[in-house]
Amino acid sequence: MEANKRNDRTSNRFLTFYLEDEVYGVHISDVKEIIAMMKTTPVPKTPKFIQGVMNLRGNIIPVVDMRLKFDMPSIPPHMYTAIVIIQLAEKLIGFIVDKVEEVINVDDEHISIPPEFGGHIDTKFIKNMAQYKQKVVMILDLLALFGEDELSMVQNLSKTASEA
Amino acid sequence: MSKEKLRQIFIEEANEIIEKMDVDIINYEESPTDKALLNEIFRGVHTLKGSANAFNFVRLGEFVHHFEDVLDYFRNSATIPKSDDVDLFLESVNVIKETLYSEVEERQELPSAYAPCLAKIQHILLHVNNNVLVPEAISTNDLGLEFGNDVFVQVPQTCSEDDFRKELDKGESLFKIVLNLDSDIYLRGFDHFLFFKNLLHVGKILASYWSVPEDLDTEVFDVERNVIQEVTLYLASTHDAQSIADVFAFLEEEEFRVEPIVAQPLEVVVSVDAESKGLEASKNVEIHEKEENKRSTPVSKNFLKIDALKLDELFDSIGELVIAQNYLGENAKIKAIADAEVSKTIENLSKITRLIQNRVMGLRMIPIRDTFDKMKRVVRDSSKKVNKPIHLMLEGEETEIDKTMVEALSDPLVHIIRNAIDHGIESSVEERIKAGKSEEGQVHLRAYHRGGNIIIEVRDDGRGINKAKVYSKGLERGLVQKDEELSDAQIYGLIMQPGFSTADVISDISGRGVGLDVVKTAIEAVRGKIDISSEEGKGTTFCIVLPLTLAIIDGMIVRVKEKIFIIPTLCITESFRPKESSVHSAGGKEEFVQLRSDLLPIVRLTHVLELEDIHRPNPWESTLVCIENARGKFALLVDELVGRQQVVIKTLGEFLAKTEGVSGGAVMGNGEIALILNVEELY
Repeated sequence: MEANKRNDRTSNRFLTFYLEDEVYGVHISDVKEIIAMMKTTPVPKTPKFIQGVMNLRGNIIPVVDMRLKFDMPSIPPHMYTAIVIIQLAEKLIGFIVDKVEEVINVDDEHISIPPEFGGHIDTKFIKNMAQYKQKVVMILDLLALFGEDELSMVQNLSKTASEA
Repeated sequence: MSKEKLRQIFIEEANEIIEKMDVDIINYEESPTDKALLNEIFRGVHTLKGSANAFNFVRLGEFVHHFEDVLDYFRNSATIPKSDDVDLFLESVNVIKETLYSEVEERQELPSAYAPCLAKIQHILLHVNNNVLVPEAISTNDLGLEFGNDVFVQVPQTCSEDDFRKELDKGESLFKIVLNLDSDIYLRGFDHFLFFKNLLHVGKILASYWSVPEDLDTEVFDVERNVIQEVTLYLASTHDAQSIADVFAFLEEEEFRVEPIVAQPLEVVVSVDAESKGLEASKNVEIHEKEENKRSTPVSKNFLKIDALKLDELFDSIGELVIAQNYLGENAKIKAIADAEVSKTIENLSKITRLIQNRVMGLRMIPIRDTFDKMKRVVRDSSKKVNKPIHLMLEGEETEIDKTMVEALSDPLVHIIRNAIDHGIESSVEERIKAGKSEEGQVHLRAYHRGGNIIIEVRDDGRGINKAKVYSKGLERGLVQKDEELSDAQIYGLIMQPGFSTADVISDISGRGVGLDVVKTAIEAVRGKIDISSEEGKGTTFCIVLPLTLAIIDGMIVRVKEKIFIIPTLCITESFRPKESSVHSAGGKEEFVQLRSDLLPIVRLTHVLELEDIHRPNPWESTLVCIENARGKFALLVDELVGRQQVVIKTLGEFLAKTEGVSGGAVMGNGEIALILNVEELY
């Protein structure tokens, strides 16, 4: 019952944002909040795409530069730069996007599986493609992006650094 | 509530009871005439029996039932349990603990000691039943009395208060007023004598006691600051507490206290009824009475179990509040508003914030007493095992330490104490007597505050550490180089290296070479360190130095390039700017600095953290921070020291938790994060 209700309301609702001129979406239920760009503290010996850590009301959370994560050139923050805070399992992670667009509702028939190629990014990070008002929105697989594998990658990186 | 949840609660409670029994039994052995203590043990067993049966833990119930009978016998007879009996009690507690585990895990087999222990218990009971018959009625009576009589214990009044009471005229009552005026009180337009004058309108002052700091002369005297810490005065008045409190209406609530002094607590209740018109008055009286009860019966404290997570959340929020408050206080725009109202409000806010912070911090602190009590059993067991009579002295059990630290401290303490008994204290009584010492080996366990740290000291009056033996052993094990000169501290440090043991006989208790290195690791995990000092023939002292809480460290803030980092002050031995002549470099790459007689490697922070560093500053133009870690000393090169500050440690989150060289972060006054360096990983 509870799950159904949640399903009806939020199953196909996505927050969309821009990186360069591509539109991406994340499931609305994963999004905790959106904040304006703020100062981060870089953490040494971490992958480049980890911008650093920030202070979210007393909690220290990591911030990822999505442009670098997707091999796009990094740009200095501007008026629309925002940090989207997502909650994955118990972890909070912030990621920097060029601009937050809107929350959209997509019907099931407009959602499809991603193609093999396309876009800037590795298709393993794309969960679905959604058609919305003449636009194609790439729905991100957050678990693939910030999940266990990526996490262990960060750790391995620091481990190899220590052996060197 | 589900059955499973109830079960969980039962297991938790049972464990608590068992732990308490252990301690109580040891204490009971020391004072075997203390029937109250025996009753306490009996009550625990009784509760355990009830719950065990409720959960259908038949085997546990059966055992506990017999154990209860034995205790009941000693409770109601004049027989004092012998040492053997106490052994049996302790063994029984072990069996109960193990049986509980078997029951919980629904295992078929029982602990091996179950049957023999039960047999021993039954043997005593058999013996008992032949001799004395215990009337059931007496025992229940006893228990009832025991339960009921805690409430109305009279607190002994100091004689001076009695003297004051004699001075009272008819209709007057005695009040004790405690003033704790803040240091800014003069700026707020008050002083102590103003209140004295006003108090004369409501009554007469019988006496006043002023508490003035001892180091007053040496301090630079500031006429605008109040240095008097506390003033206690006794007032005879016909008014009620509320009217007296009105005199202090303009003070903060925590700055004054008005307490009616009454001859007997029982009368307090009556007088409250009589003059309950003043709400504040009755409230004051109630608080007063509660305080008295607390003093007389520590057992009847009202405890509230709170999820530690909730406490942490609260703690986090307070941290935020402090940061926001600092921001307000340091904000230049707000400072520019030259308005007394505004600055007063901000001052007030900061005071309240500090008060809340201290109180919340206090919630995490518990006295070390429970941990110390557990050590009594450790001492007793080890002393029996190695056959050395030991006397354990405890001191400073009231010292409060962080809850999480208590848990981490227990195992290392056990190790150190066993080590002291096994290796420290002489093997035979004759040897001790020859050395002019008492027959019993003395082990002294002490906790106290020093600076911003808590020190836990384990001292024995045994043989002391044989430096030559340790040194040669170190050579043998390859821990020391042939002609390396070691300081005393370094030699003692060797015994905490992995795989080190100088004991001639490896005993069951210690001496396997595992132990002290584990202790060292465990203490370092809670950001503490161990100092050892020893005098041959006189004894050895292990000193565990711990930070006040796990959540807050004293940090040295350093700057490298534009970045700010924090180094825990505990690992810094000194900092200095070297002379050019004292810096040496080997192969143009490795750098060393001569500090007195030591040659320390220079570690560039920019280098270890792989920060961009195009311009390599010369060491003699930078600051070197001398840091001591597990592997020795090194000099960390930074651009400058910025300051020293208490910081709240936060993790960087699971995602970055294992980042090398960094142990966490702290939110600074400006809201930004500074990383805390992990000195173990820097060199």
